[in-house]
Amino acid sequence: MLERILRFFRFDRQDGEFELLETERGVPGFLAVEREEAVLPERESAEKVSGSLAENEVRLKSVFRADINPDLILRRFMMGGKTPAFLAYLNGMADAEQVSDFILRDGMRPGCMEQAEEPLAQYAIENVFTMGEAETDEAWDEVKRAVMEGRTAVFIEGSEQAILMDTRGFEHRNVTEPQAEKVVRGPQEAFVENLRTNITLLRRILHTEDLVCEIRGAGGENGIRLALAYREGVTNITLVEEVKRRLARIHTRTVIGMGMLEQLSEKHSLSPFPQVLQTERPDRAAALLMQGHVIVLLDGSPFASVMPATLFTLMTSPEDVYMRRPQGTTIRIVRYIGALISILLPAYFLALALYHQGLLSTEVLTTVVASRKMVFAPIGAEMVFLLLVFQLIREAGMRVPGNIGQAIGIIGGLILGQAAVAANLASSVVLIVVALTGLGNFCIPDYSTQLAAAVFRIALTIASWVGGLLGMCCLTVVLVAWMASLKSYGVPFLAPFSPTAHSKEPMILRGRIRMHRQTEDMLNTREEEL
Amino acid sequence: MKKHNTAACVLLVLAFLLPCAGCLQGVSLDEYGYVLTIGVDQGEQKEFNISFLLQKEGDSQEAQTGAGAEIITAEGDNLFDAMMVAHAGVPYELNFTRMNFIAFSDQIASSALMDEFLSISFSALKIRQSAKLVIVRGVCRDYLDGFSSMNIPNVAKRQYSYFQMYEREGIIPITNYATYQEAIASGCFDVALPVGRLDRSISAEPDGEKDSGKSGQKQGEAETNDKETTDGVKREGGLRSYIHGSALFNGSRLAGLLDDEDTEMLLLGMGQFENGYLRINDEKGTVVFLLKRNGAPHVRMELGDAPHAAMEFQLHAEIELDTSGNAEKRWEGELKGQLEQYIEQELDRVFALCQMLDSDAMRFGCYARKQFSSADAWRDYAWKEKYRHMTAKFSVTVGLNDRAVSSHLE
Amino acid sequence: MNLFEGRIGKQEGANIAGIALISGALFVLDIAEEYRYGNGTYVAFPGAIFLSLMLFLLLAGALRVSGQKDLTALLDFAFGKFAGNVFAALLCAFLFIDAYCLLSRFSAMVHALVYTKVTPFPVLLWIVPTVVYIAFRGLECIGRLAKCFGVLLGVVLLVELLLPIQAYESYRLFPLPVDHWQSIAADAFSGMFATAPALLALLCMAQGLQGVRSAKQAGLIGALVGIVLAALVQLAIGMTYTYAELQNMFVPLYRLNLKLMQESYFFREDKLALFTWLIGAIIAGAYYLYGSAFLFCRRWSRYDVRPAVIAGGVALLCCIAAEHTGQYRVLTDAFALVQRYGTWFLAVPFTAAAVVSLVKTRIRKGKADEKA
Repeated sequence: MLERILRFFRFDRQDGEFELLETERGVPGFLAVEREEAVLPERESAEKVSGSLAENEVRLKSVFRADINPDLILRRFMMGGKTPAFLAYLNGMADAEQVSDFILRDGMRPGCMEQAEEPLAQYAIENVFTMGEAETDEAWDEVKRAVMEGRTAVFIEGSEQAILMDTRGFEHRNVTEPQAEKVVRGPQEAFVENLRTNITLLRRILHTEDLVCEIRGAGGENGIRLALAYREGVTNITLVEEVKRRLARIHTRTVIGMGMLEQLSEKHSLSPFPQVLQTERPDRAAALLMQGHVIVLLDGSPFASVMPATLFTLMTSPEDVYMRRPQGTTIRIVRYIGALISILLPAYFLALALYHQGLLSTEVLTTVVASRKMVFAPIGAEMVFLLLVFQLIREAGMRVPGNIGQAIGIIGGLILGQAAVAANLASSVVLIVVALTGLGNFCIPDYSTQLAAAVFRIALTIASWVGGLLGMCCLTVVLVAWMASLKSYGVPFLAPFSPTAHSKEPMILRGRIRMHRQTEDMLNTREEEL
Repeated sequence: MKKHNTAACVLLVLAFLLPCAGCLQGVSLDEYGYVLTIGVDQGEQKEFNISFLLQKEGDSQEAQTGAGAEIITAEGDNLFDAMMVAHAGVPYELNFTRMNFIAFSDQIASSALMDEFLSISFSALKIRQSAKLVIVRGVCRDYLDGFSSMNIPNVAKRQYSYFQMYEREGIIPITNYATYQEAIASGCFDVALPVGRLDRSISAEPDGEKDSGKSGQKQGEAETNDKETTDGVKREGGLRSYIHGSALFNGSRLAGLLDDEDTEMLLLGMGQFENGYLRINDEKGTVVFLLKRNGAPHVRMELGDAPHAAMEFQLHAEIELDTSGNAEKRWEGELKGQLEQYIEQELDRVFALCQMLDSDAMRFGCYARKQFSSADAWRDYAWKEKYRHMTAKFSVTVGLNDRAVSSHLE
Repeated sequence: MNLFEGRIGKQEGANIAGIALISGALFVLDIAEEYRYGNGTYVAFPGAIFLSLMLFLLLAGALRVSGQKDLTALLDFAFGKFAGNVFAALLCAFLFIDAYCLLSRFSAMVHALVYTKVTPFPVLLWIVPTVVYIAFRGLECIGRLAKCFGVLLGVVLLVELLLPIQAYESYRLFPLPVDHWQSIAADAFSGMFATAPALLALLCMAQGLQGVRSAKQAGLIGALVGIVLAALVQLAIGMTYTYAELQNMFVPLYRLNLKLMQESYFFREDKLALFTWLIGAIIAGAYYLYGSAFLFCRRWSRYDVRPAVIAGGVALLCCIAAEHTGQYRVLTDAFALVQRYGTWFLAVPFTAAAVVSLVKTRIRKGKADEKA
């Protein structure tokens, strides 16, 4: 009987309690007008590599404008002294030493083509070239892309396939410490701009055979590539398909940074909140990958995009799990309080100062009145002005090199603030409120979420300027309603709080490390199904 | 489709922007003057002479010098009229949201004017109904003047000292406007309010630190009178205004005053006694007890034309001073009985006093109404009529706390 | 058909029901007239929720037995399409009236207690668009919002009850209106107009709550919490103010800590509590508005719930604004009529629907058994 009663009061999630993914065609539009079909990318051309060496050479020269573009290196040689061939690579993108040592030297070795048989390209890979990563391809677009990436293409007379060998050797940054996600305890390396290095950084942490890294075009005309990483057999296949579908829909002129890719693939473009988590830490990306998330790495970007992202994921720092549970929990609570202070404090103070003075104690009232005696601006304008000044200092500090940025922070924060109070441009109490707000803002671990908080802060401040606590309260409800209806790749933004999921990680209180045995319930991973 | 969505969003945004015309009318906090206390005296031209005690802020952002109190006085037939007059002379609006006290002169409280003053709606001024009521012996204006001191610029702090007096010494009752209203509306008890007085033997500006502001000038001009001391005892230093004893009400009119010792007994009878000192002098020496309440009193009421109440109290006693040196030994056989008998006699006397003043300040009506099963029956019973013929029996039990705990030799 | 039901769980459903029931019981029913014979509201208000719960459980049972998927289907099953339409229209109207009563009351409260310098209209212009926006986002958004704020609302309510605990006096509850128990029962019954629609709407949106069983559990939990909290709050009010004071008091819950003699900073935060309850009222109002639009679309429009929500919102704004001008006496009179007789139009048809469907199912089952 007791068990029945307890079962009745349990809020177990039933199957299909929430949709993991939005439907293919999305939510029907207002007045039930059908939504536009997804724009699918144009099909790649079916042009093939020719068997004629001369024709391939002409085509390449034409495509890469070889007459005016000296970057393209075309080198003719005789394979084994008898078979005409040529190789093509971009100067600077490919490592010339590798090309000389492992392609030209091996290819021109006498007699290497003595026992050649069809297909020639395959024979050459297996018997002539001593390159680790080599493959044959007959698609012309693929060959072009390979050359542009820094690989070397070798064409052999009579072969309708090109040999593509990885000779990439362009200059790139070494793995360094993270800049935006520093931790005291934990790994001290960050992603770099090189896609291959980034995948390697992930694989160094994840020694699992089910980790898949699909490399594909990012959708821009600049032809940059991305890697889609997930755990085959664990990650929800619908989620993977959804990510692929959205990436496939990208069709634009340029994709350079991860921020662009994020905007091109997300659904709610007006949302101040990010719908993907961007991290520069391989350990964090790897941890989320193990939980069943999908990761996208973009060539040229030192960030990984994690999909889906919920509010609680965005408020989590990688260091939380490296600390002991009480410490991690305390820091998380402080972080959430900081975030709340950052968003609500200026609006709350303004509402009290303008409409609800009775809620301030006589002592505080007297202090504020004294501090505002000679300040010319209305308190609302003063608050918004100082909030903007705070953003100004922050922006200025970020745009200048390291040490000077710190100096700007000090000058802005201390000297400017003191001078503003002395000049009666601002009151000391409002300055304290804005300073507290700034501190709270920096408690938010994710940069995009910090910016979202800034938007909310200013909106709420204006709302309480015109409407007091009523304005603040109404706008807060609207913002929470917005968050409640927001979805990141089909996963509700407030999951696992609402809708409830079995595994409560990550939420405000840090759970046990033992709980990490399971993948995240809200992602409906295939492991969970099993 | 997107056009529809955009249109809907624009409409919603516009709907939110509508209130942006500033129609909620916020007023910045520095455009107000914060009234902490109102004093109501009889007016000369108009019905009331109302004094507003305002908190004055410091001179600058950095320093709180110059902070203190400011008093504005204006006559009017009601609070709103007086406010209108007061507004004419100040560059700010009066704000009552932080008001803690309303003081009435005994002259006002004895007449029907107090009820008339309180009958106006306070909600428009946002005066909290938790504002405490005080009856002032003499003129409220002078009483509020006595609050001002450069040494204690925070006038609101005075409120806390009242509570300390109420809780530690039990010599004043505390009653707020909401309770006063309850007494008037329910008719089952009468209120007892604290009494504010002025010690005129204290100079208005003993240390000469006071600024030359309006209130300062007024106080500086005030004459001293060595006969009007703090409850007849000479005091030096501190504020001129003090609070002492209680004022008993019969409905909405002041019926009489009780001194501090009677107030202690009254609080005991009301069930609001917290702490209080009691001294027994005999040939063996002096023993001072600190009495503490031990739970609410138990009351049995018998209703009828002449109701009868049996009230039982339990108190804890701690020996604070013992010049005889053997008070603990004498406790069971001698002191306990003396103490209980003394308190019972005092309660009888104070009850008789209340009854004579027709004031149910001990709140027997609250116990009486528990025996009725409908509002009509209670109304028909006419409690106040019956109270005049009521008899009461008080029985007090005092227990001595552990000597180790209550030792005064710390 | 795009009804924006989404899918919400039991927690969300329970929170919606709880918030709507408590808001209705504490703010729509709490009027001075309820104290005319003494203070029995701590029985009458929870009683109204209890009676609504009984009706809800009866209908949920009928749905289970008859195998219908939601309440509107049950109405059709019991009375046929035409009568089903009539009763659905009735529920639709009651949901709208409840939204109107609640928001009207709250806009009056916020205006009278906080923004006294302006007319109620600017206050309405903040509240109603917020309600419309939430209803516009659909049941899923309302459910999640309710869950986000449900705990906060409960905690604030309990803190509000605990802070003035020293000022509670049991004598204020007396004289107990024992002789007026019939009046208390009648008040509880007539109070159903403010509480029953919240639960019945859950059954109408049973599909959004993952079926009748889930909706039933959510409603039951929400109603039980509602009964406990409504009783506690009314008891606290009764121990703070006598019935004589309450007969002339506007929103006694707001004035709960005014009897305390020793206040501190937190005792002044009653305005914050007021705005927290306003959040509850906004959620409940959005739920009622959405429920009304949902029923309308489900029966007659079969199109998109959002235009209906906006239309309902505009109607709501106009009605409340007209009421606050004081020139449209008809609205106040209509509200009084609904308050007095409205419950009959809810309780009778829906109880009949449950009974008829149970009988019908039984007969059909009997016939099927005979055939077998």
